[in-house]
Amino acid sequence: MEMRPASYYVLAALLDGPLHGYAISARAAELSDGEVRLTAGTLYGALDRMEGRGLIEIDGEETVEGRLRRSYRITTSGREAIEREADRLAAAARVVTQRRGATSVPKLAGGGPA
Amino acid sequence: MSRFSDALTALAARAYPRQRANARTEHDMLVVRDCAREAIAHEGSRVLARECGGLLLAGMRVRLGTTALELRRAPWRAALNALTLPLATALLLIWTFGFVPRYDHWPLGEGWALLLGGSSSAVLGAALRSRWLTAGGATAVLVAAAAPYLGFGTEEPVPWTPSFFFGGEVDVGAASLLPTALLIAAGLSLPSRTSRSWPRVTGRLLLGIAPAAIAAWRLWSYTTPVPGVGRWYLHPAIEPIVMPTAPYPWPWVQAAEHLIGIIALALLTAVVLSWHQARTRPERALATGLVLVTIAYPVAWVATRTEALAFPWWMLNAPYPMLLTAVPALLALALIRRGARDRRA
Repeated sequence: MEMRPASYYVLAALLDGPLHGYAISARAAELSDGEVRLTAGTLYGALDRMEGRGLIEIDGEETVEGRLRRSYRITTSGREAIEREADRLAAAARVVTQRRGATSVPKLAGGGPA
Repeated sequence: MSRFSDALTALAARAYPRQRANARTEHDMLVVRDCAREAIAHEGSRVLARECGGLLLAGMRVRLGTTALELRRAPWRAALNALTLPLATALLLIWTFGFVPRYDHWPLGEGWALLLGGSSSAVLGAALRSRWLTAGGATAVLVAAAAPYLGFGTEEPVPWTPSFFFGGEVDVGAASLLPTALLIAAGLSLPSRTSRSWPRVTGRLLLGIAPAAIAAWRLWSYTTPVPGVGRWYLHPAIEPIVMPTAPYPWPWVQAAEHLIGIIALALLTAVVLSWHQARTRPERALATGLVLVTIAYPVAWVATRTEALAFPWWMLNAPYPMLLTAVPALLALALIRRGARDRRA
């Protein structure tokens, strides 16, 4: 099943290790060249859904400078899911990149339309 | 700035459901709110509006999800069971008012036999907790009450079928159509087999019949009204021709002050009691909410025509009663929400 860009970049952000909410959001924005910008509300909605599907799990909670932080880590199932999605995207991209430059405008026999 | 953004994020986070019994939801909200505050602290005030908007939308989404879940889990069957006897009692009371001989143009024909017989069966069924007796009685009432408005059982063509609510009156019979449909659903929700305690059945039966019996006893002593008269004005200079009017062809149970008063008092009592008991007896709040939804329009209509409430005259006209329907409807939804609120979390 196709993965939403937000979920894709959130999972990608967690590939290097557990991160807390804002760090996930910042890393996802960085990895997507600013394409995916998640507010805290949207991010936690996505995290809840992914946790429900077993793609990520809560790593722990801590209070830093009076603010609650919840960290998440990717599960084996989440790692498999993002790898499958990366393969799918790569295959889809190949369909176009392999044809780039190889195509030319065919000449019509008879000199063109009447 | 920090204090200002903290205040704004705290305000936006109030969109999340606050359930005193659900510490997890409260804690989740704090995590999201603090994440938004961290984003604002790192990226500056340019993301303040975006983060607050995100909190607001996400909170409303969570609230909607929680509400939907609670409504799905709510004790609807128990609520429907709880409203069978009160609703059947109210219907019998209404049709007893309609049957009294003061409306002498109505003979005891098939329609009245169905209305009185059906509502009596519904009361008996509710007392016995009998599914088919309750639903069957209510169905008979619904068919008999609705038929004239659809052009059946009258000699009038359908386009002449009147508005359910006209002028200063409320057609209580028409107002009872939706509650009667609700009673059918409530009857069908009763268990197919039930063990009966006869003293309790007798008690319920007496409770169900008592209001109609008292009403009948009071109303029978009324004098027979004079027949309706019509005046034909042929010319301003000529005296009008006075002649008896044709019988009113629809089962119009007139808005008798006693009847409206009794129903209003019963409704008010039900709303207050079920609101206070919502924690321990959620099915009662749900039941009252359901009934209030079905009569929201008649309630608004009657309210605009109640002198004590002193509505300005222009509010008697459409569409104001329709707009005012929002008040009882919202009260009904609040009751349902209160009754459905998940206490197990």
